Amino acid sequence: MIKIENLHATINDNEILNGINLEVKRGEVHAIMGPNGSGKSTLSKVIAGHPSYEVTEGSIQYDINGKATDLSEFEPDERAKEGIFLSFQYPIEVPGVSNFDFLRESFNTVCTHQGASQMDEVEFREFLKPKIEMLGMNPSFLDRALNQGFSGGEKKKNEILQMAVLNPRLALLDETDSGLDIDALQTVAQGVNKLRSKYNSIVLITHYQRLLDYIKPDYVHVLHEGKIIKSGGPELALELESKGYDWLIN
Amino acid sequence: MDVLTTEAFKGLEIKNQKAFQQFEKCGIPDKTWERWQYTDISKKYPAPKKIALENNTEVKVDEVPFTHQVVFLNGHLQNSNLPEGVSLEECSIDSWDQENPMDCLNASFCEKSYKLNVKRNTVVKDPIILIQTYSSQSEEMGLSRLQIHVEAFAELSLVEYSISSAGREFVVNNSVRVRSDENSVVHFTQIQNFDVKIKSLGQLKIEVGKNALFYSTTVNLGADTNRQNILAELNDFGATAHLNGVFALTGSQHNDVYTQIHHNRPNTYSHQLYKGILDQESRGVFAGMIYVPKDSQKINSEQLSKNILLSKKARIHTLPMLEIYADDVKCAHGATVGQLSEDEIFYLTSRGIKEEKAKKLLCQGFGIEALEEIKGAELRKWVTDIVLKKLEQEDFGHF
Repeated sequence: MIKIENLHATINDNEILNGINLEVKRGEVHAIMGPNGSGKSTLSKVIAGHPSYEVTEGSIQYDINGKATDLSEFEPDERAKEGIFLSFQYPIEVPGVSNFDFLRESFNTVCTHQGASQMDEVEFREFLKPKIEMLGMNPSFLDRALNQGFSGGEKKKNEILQMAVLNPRLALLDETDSGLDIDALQTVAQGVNKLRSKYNSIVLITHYQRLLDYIKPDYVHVLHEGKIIKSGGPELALELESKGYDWLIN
Repeated sequence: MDVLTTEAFKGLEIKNQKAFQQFEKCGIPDKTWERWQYTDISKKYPAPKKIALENNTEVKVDEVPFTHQVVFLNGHLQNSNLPEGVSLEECSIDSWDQENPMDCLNASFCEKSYKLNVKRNTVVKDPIILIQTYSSQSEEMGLSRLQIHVEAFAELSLVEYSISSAGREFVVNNSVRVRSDENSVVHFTQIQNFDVKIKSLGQLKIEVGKNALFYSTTVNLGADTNRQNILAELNDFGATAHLNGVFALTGSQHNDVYTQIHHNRPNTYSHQLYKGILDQESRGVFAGMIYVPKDSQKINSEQLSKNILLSKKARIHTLPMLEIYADDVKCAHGATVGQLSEDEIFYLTSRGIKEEKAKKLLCQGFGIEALEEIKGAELRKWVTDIVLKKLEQEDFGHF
């Protein structure tokens, strides 16, 4: 699905990613863990195409229509249309733009690109109904301004709602578990699990084993100073939980 | 261009000598006038050769989806459909703002003046749309003058929608005075959507009575140059004025809003929110004066001017001003000037929305906050759509 080779990226001339190698195959779930400031969020933003980051070396190859394609020339909206989705650690509040209109705009844009038909307001509301129920969201959130005044948990649920609407092939979930209480974490994890299939891939960025109790990864990677310093199976996360990162870093 | 002087108006037929004398006494504002320093009328506005009359070509009005409408052409009444309790009649011009030369000018030459009266206890649910159309040959001046009296306990929503014929350069000068009596609730929305060749002058004077609530929303989208003066007199206990506004400018448009709020009695309240969206080489000005005399205690007044610049060449001058002589008051003011944030744009583009569209959505979101006090979802949507149409314009958002 995605193959990252020797990826170096900078922001304002500070190197954050320092030679990342990572391959995520179709149907796999990978967890990326690591101490604060190790470059986890940067990696997800670079994959999604954030314009503030500059890729100085290496490449990201992404599978488009069965062909490995270099993403470097793709704008963020083009990456989204090709099925890349980033769930934000801190979703942005956008006053004046209703959540519903935003979701429909996003959905229809992506559908048009992928050759599917658009939905009118009535159809789209019906389409959203089971997804909202799955996430235990109050339907009134649809008619509020995008993320404005939402609590931390509501914002994260809204991110997963967007994921459910866009049905991405590659979902990057950046600390989707932070700011969630146990009940909300379970709901969100259930939502993600329902969207998991043998056709799509998920990259989970997290600090805690807790999320991985609910969403079982196939692989776990540890990121430190912009590099993957260790990879392993799910047991690695348990080891990190009990030992911390020091034994790997030193 | 020559400097405009009061002399240049002597070739026109003066309708009100007293007003003209005061106009001459005031003179034409230029940049040495502190309150007009960013909009030099003497240089920016041409001398009109004639007053535009009602025999000019009608202006095409896009469909206005509300039943109660009044249509004016160059200030002359064309037709009206008003609800019970609301009446409109011609009236004489016997008062004007003597310190505002542009209102004196309006009163000097205005052919017709009308009075809209809203009877005591009248409650009108649907909005009344006053459509001011201006059509003119070049070098003419379109004038309109309206007095609105809302009697005690009446409640209604009025909209003044101003448009012009396209393609000709001429001056429009519009004056509106509203008196709202005890316990009335008035929502007054002004939409200025002139052709980009128009030089516009607008005066709005509001007198708010005891426990009356007045909500003004001004939307400025069109005109080459527009100067709008808003004066709110809070004349009795509990009088409250909310003044909101948004302007969206592109090309070389220039828009200057000057508000004055006079807290003439204790326990009066005001709240202002003005938002500017400026693209290309446009210029915006917001200056707001809050005046609290010595005996006006227990005042609460807030003022905020927020602006977004979309291009390196756009400019905004924002000047919040307070003049307070009382000692037990709460007054706050602030101004912000910024750009769209990269993170906000990225959030929207990461959902498949094109960058240009994302920026438009963010501008829309930014501007719409100033429209929230327009009464009724249907009316709010109509006004919002007019603003969005401007933001959708091809020359807007050359990001």
